[in-house]
This record gives sequence, C-alpha cells and structure tokens, in this order.
Amino acid sequence: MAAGPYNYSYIFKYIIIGDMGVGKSCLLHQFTEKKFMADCPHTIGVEFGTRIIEVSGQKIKLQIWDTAGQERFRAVTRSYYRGAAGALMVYDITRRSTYNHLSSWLTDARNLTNPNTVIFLIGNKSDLDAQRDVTYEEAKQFADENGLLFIEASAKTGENVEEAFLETARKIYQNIQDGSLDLNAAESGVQHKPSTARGNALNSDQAPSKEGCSC
Amino acid sequence: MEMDLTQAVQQNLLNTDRCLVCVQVAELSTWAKTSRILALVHHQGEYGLFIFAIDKSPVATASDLSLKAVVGIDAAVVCDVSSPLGIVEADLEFKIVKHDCTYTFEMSIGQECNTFVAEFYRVLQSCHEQYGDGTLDFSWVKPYGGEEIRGSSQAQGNQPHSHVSLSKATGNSASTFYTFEDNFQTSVPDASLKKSSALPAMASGGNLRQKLEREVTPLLRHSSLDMMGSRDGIIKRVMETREDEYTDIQTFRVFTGTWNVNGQPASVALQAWLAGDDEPPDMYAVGFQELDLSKEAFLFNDSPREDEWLQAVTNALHRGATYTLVRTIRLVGMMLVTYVAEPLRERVIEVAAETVGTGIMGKMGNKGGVAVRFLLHNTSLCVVNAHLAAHTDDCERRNQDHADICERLRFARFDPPLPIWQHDVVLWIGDLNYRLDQLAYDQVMLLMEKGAFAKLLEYDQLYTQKKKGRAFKTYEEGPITFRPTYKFDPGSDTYDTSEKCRVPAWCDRVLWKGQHVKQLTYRSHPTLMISDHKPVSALFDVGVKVVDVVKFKRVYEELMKQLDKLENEYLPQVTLDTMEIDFDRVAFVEPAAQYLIVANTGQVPVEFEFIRKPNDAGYCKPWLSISPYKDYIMPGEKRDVKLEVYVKAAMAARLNAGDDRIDDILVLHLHGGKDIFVTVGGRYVPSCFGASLQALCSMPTPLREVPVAQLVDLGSPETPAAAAAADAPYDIPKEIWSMLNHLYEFGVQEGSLFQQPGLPSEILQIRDVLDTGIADSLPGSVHSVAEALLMFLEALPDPVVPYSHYQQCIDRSRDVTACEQLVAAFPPCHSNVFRYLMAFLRTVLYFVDRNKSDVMESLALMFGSILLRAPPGVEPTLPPRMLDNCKATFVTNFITE
Repeated sequence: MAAGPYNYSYIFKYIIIGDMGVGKSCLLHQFTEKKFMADCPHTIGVEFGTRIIEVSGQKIKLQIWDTAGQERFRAVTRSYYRGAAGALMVYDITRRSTYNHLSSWLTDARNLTNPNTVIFLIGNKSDLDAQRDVTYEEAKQFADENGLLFIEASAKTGENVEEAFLETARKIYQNIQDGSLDLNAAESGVQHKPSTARGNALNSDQAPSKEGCSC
Repeated sequence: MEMDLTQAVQQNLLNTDRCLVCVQVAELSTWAKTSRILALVHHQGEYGLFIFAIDKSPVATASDLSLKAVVGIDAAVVCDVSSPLGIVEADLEFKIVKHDCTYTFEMSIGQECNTFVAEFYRVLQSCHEQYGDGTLDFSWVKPYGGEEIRGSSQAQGNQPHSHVSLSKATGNSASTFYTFEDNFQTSVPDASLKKSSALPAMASGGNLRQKLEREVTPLLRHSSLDMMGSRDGIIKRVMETREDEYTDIQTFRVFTGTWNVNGQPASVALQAWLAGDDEPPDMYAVGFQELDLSKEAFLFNDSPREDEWLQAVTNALHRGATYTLVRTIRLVGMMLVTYVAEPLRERVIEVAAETVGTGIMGKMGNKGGVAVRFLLHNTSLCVVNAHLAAHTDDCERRNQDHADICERLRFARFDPPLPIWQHDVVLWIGDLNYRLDQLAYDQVMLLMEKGAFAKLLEYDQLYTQKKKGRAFKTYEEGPITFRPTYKFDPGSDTYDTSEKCRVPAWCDRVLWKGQHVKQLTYRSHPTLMISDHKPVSALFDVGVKVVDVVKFKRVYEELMKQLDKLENEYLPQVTLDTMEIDFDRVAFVEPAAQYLIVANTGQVPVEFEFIRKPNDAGYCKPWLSISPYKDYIMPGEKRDVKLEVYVKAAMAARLNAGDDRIDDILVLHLHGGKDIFVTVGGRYVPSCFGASLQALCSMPTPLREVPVAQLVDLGSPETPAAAAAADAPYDIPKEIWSMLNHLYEFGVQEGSLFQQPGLPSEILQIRDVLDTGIADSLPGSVHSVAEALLMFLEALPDPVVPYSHYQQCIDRSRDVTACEQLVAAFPPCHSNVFRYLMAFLRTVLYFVDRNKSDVMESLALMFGSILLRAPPGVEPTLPPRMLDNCKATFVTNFITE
C-alpha cells in the first residue's frame, strides 16, 4: 500500500535544553502523553519521545530528545544538538538562576546546531504565577533581542505546551516551504518521506546511534 | 501428413516450457479473419497464452508455425467468451484483454474449444489465487524473441506492467467494450480521486476491512519498532471499526428500475417509469435486459442500442434535480446505468463495475449479471442487474445463476477482488425470470382479478426458493402489489395471447439487503408497452453513513494520541540499579570491579551499547573496561555489566599529576531509544609510580606524606617547586635506590634477574612500602622487585632518557662518545638515574656466567624500550624493529665492559 493519507511525510528532530529542574521532561511527557508527571526524576541521560502532528495538512513526526539538565552532563549532552531542526530552550519562571543561564544554553544551541534551527524559548511553570521570579516582559525582550520564539507554558496544566511544540514545527515547515531550510543538508534535522521502518530513521543522522554521539 | 497440433507447438517451445492445450482459432481484426493457433504454455508455475501464426496449412511440421505474440497470464488479463444468442452452431468469441490491448478470436464450438476455454479459465483462476493482483514480469518469455513480438505493427507502447506486447487486434475495441472496461482510474472523475486521498475516512472499502484483518492484527499484537510501517493501516482499520462514533445516518432517496425491453429500440418516453414521483430521487439505478438481441451485440458486445437507451433514460430523469452519470456497464443485453444528483457527485468515490456471464458454458453474456459499486459518503453500495435463466422449469438453473453471480462477480480493482456481499447495501434488480408454479393461466388470471397477490405470491418460485434458502436467502423484498409483469403481447396491456399462452409471472424484481434501507414503493409501470415485460421500479430511502467532520476529527485525534502513546510505550526501556558507580579508592595496578545491573523493564527486546562521546577515543577511559559493552536483553530479563578499573603504568602519571581523574560519564545507548548517562567515579591514590624523577628527588619523605597540591606542583617543571628541585636532597629518588639496593643485595647473583615475572600481589606490597616508607626492606621475591622497578621506570611521566633528548639519543645511538655527552646533558636526576641503572646492569651481567652476550642483548632491548620512549604524538622515523635496535644499542654503549 502506498504511503496513504494517514502517513507522515516529514520527521523533525527536536532537542529540549535548559537547566536542571525547569521541567523539560515534564514538557515532553505532557506533549506526548497529555499527562503531568508529578514526581519526575531527574533525567540522567537523554530521553526520547515521538508524536505525529499535522502542519498545513502535512503529517509530521516529531522525534524529541530531552536532555539531562545537570551541569556535569553538559559536555555530553552537547553532542545531541547536532542535526536538530528545533530546539526548545526552557527556563523556570520561578527561578531566576535558570533564566540567567539562558545565554549559555543559547550559545550552545547556536554553536552546535545549524543556522536554520528554530529555537523556541519556553518559560515553564506558568501555573506558579505567585512565585514568579522572571517577568514575561523581561523574557520576551530577551527572546526578541535574540530572535527567538517565546511563550510561557505549564507542563502541569498543559497550557501552551501544544502551542510551543506545534509553533516550532510550523516555523520549520515554513522554512522548508520558503527554501531556507535545505532538506538535503546533513544536519537539517528534517527527513522527508521516511522509510516505514523506524529503525532506519534512527540509524540515520537524526538520532544518536552508534556514532551518533561523536560529532 | 497432418501433425498433432500440440506436438507442433511443443517443438516451438523451450525445454522448460510445456504446451498444456492448444486450439486453432481465427483472429478477428477490423478487416480480416486470420488463422491462428492459441496455446496455453506453462513455465514453472507461470502461464502464457502463445499466439502462433500458421505459415502453412494444414500444419505438418513445427516450422509451419511462427510465434506472433505472448500474453503473460496474470491478474491484469481479462477474458470473456460469448456466443450469439440461441444460435447453437455459431462460433464462440474469445476475447483477451491485457492493459489496453485486446485480442478477439473466433472459435468453433466443439470439444477442443471447450477444453481450451475450460483450461484457460482454470489457469486464470489459479493465477488470481496465487499471485493476486501482482503482475509478473514473465522474463521467461524473453528468449522467444521479445523484439519481434514488440515490433508488431499495431503494438501499443505504453504497457508498464508487461513487456509482452500485443497487437491490438480489433482496432480500438478496448475502449468500446464495456464488458472489459476495467479502467477504473480513468472513469472516475478526478475530483473524486483527489477527495479520496484528502479525506481518508471516506475511502473505506469493504475489501479493506478484510485485508486489514489479515495484515494488521498480527502487527498490532507485537507492534514494536516496526509499528510505524503499518501505522497507516492500523489507523484505517481502527477508524473503520469506530465508524459509528463519527458518522451520522443521513437518508438518501434511491430509485431502482428494471425492464426487460425484449430487444426493442428506445422509442418511448420513460418519464412514467422514472420520474413519476413528486420528489426527485438522489440516485438512480436503472437496469435493462435484452437490450439488444442482435448477433452483433453478442459477437462484439457492441450495440447502438446502448446509447439509445442511455439517452432515453437520461432524458426521463426527474426534472427536480440535475443528475450526473456515475457509471454504465453492459454485458450483451444487460445494461446498468447509475446516476447521482449533482450535490452528491463529490461524495461518490471508488466507483467500479464488473460483469459476469452465466450463459452457455457458464461464460456467455446472454445471461448473468452486471454490477456497479461505489462509496456514497461512507456507505459502500452495490447495484446488481441480473438476467437469470429463463423457462418455468429451470428454477434450479436460476438459483445456480444467482449463486454464480454472487461467487464470480468480484470488483477486480480491489485487492483482494471485492465480492458483492462485502457491501453495506446491495440492491439487486433484474429479470430474475422466476415464474408461478403449479398454477394454470386461468387460475392466475382469476386470482389476479381478485387482487389476491399475496395468495398468488405463494406460488411464486422466487418466494418459495428464497423461503427454502436456495436463492436470495439474505435478501429482502417488499410486498408485491402489482400485477405480474410478464408476459404481455407487445404494444398492449394484454397477457400473452399467443399459442404458448404463457402463465403470467413476476419475472422482474427488486431485492435488497443492508441496514437502514426502507422501501417506499414497489411498482410496475404498465403504460410502457413496447416490450413483453413491464418495467418495475422500487423507491428506497437508504440510510447512508455521513461523516461528521468534528466527530471524525475527535475520534481520529484520540486514536493518534493512543498510537503515539503506544509507540512511546514500546520504546526500549531499561532500569539500572544505579546511575553512579563509585570505585572509591583506586590505586596503581590494583584492579577493582563494580557491577551495573541493566534490567529490561520495557515491552520490547533491547539492544544496549556503551557509545563513544565526542572527543573521546573510546566508549570509556583507558583505565576502565566494560564487559559486555553491548548486548541484547529480553523484556523482563537483566544483564550484569562488569566495570573494571585498572591503572597501568602508562596512565599513572596523568592520574598522579591530576591531569586525569577516576571520573567519567558513560553513555549507555538503547538502540532505537534513549541514552542513559552512567557516572563513574573514584579516588586515585597517588603513588611514586607515575611520579616524576624530579619530584621524587626533592621529596625527603615517602610520597603518601606529601600533600597532593605539592605533589601536583612537583610534577610540572615550570612551577617554583620544580625549580627548587634543582637543588634536590637526593641524587636519585630514594624509591629507585631502595629497589636497586634490594636487588643488589638479594638478586644480582640470581642469574635470571629480569627474566622471570613477579607476583602481582607482591608488587602491590612493594608499591605500598615505597609510597609509605613503613618497612625498612622491600617485601616479596627479587623477581617481583625487578618487575616493580620496570613498572616504575615505565610509569615515569618523563622517561629516564628525557623526551627532550630522545631523538638525539636515537639518532646517535651508534656513537658512544656522543651518547656519553648526551647523558651528561640530561637534567641531573635523569642522568644520575641513568648512570646508576647502567652500573647496576653491568653488575647483573658480571654475575651471569653463561650466554652472557644473549643476556646482555635481552637486557639492552628491555631497558632500551623502557628508558627511551618517544614523546607522545611523535611519529616514529624508523621502522619499529630498527628503532628497537637503536634503543638497545644506546643502552649497550653503557653496559659493555
């Protein structure tokens, strides 16, 4: 049977980065499972999640790599940036330190991904407005100055989580449409018309396989 | 002498191929009839129809035949046999269509012909069963001269699926014969096709259900990494089973009509039959029988009547709506025309039509059925127009015809071909030819005049056969309240007055099956008098499943969510007993092991592997080894992974100096899934092994008593501490002195010094004594001390022959004087250690009584390789063997008497 209307025609690789405890894994879990993981353990490594979404009538498979936020793993997690079409950079609106570290995360994201990688800034834990430590305006200004998309979201309530992931995909898709993202480039982070077996997708450039980590 | 035909054909074939059956026929083309031999040829499970020209008649030898074309038999081949109505002695017409090529042959009815046709159908059937819709490449046909066949003058160029080219024998017949019309794609309006792909839910065919049941169920069961491949199919399947949740039943009015026109031209207006109701129906299905009784219709299945009647129907459609022709299909005298009202046009997709002949030999088109099917919104609908066997006594034959149509009529465009019963709604119309049993003409007339139709119906064969379950068992029929529709004197409203005086009968019927079908009217139309039958019509309200876009989206998204969740759940998962391995105290050449338990807590088998990080040479640091570093674990099982730390001489200096630490992050990769970081840590116990000569010379106390910071400083030459070492308290490190002194006292006279290995446990003791200075003398055997000495020298961050002097020493190894000058230029502690060692070796050699030169040679090689080490990252300028020789020569300069 030929690739039917249900099948996806693109794979986008995402990475989620940011300080420890800002809720990266919870955002991923909320996005893939529509559930809040209350006692989410620290990610020691790189978690993997997938979901198929639709953008402009195109089915797109998101392959999302959720990285460990701990500083001691930073050197290792850097190797996962390569080939990401989208980077979700997360801070915690109730902890200023996580916001202050953004420039360091952004430097990594800029240095280690391709120039077309869509970087989306997410201020997580918007449900904890009472404990807010970073104003929306301040973060918005930071995002604008650095050409980032920005939204405040809550992995707990699910508010804006969908939007962040989808908006990133829309932007990537738009880049494909207007030709600014070259699909043939090895590190575009986008695969078009994938083969059906998932194994293949993972053995390609888009995911760490045996050599995936050795850029 | 006339030759056996089969034999002649066989001689034209390769040894691997066998002629099953052959027959002489005439090929009909636009202009002429040409004699041909048709041969059915078998080649290893594949079949071909070979068409030979007869060069010389009668056929006497194999060379009298020449091959004209080969038709590879697969699912793409459509075949039909027809014969002129009622002409017993007439020739049969045998037609073969493959893609857009048609061959028409005429064969005389007889034993040969019967055998051939029967065999051909058997082969065709078996090809369908065996290969389904797959087309074969028929490469075995190539040796028969593909070029010549291809070069045939009327051959068509565009035959993507078959290399076998066919001459197009009957002009453009392929496009004029509805019988063979199978070209589904071209006859479906483009818009519908596009819709079909854009709106997936609308495109659920019944066959899909069957197919998915077959394919998808096992995949669902162990859907793992390969699940994505079938995701499309799974979604379709699940969406189908949940159809009720997102479709509403919407009622559409369907008009069905059937009329046996007895070969009459379309000379009357049909409004009375087709447009008698106030409201326009949403759909028309109009069937005719005996549309054309001419021989042409029979031979060529070509009839001018077709257009005539089609026009008549089109003209008579209800004025209250605009109708679009969905499809017409005709087999000889049976024609079925379907229309939908304009607003529904977009909602009709997957249109297909098929025919089945049940006439003479079970193949002829004078009896049988034609059918059109399509998807109206989400409901699959099939209309069958049948003309079953005639004559009162042939009731059983009619039952058989019905069974044959049910069995043989399959919509070939689907895979597997879609039968009638796999439709949500089936409307079966036609001249079913069932009669009234047991009643004489007068009795029928009497009951009819009384209007006792119910009573009369008890004698109706269809009524009784259906009741017995012998035909139309699963079909419903509405109550008949009209007079029998057969047989009238043509042009009148009078029942048969001929001498045959046939008993009136309800030949013309409409039946249905399916849910949400309600018959509104069931009538005959006696004002239409041109035929010996009266037309019949039935009006239905058919409940059609219409997709509610909002509901559909909800169900669809819920399903997608479910599948995404499932997919994430089926990612490989493992649990580790710990993410941090702590070796605590790690010391020089002292192995230590820790275990990591990897448990597969997911639902799929896991392949794990420790993978390399960027900028790292291996998947772990050189002081660590992992076993197994890659393996498979079944769900629910565990694997113990051994992590062993062992600091060898080459790594000691960096660890001592703090350039390296017992600290690493291992990346445990699950194939097709996540990565886990495992932190490995430990505290390296500094040792004199791996400390620099300078540092050791400047340390009056054992190494363990020196603060680590100072130790680190002493290791690097630029620091003040290192500068201070210039006026060190010792000429040589006390550790070297200690070992050499021990060997001198207890080992020199032992002839085999440096030739036997020591014991690892003793070496550890020696190490501790040297590092702590606790014991006065060294423990262990002299061999252990000797090996410890070698390890000590090997572990030096800067070898005894300093890196800075290495190349000169190699280059000038043959020049004794130069070598002595070089040694004198070493930093003081290096040259002291060197000289001290050389003196010791000379003493060792002094006590060797036999094979002195052999021992000297081996000592020179051994010490040469330990004392002279190339600086890291320097490419050797000489081959290894020559390099070893240079090193040995350098040492030899100092140990010869």
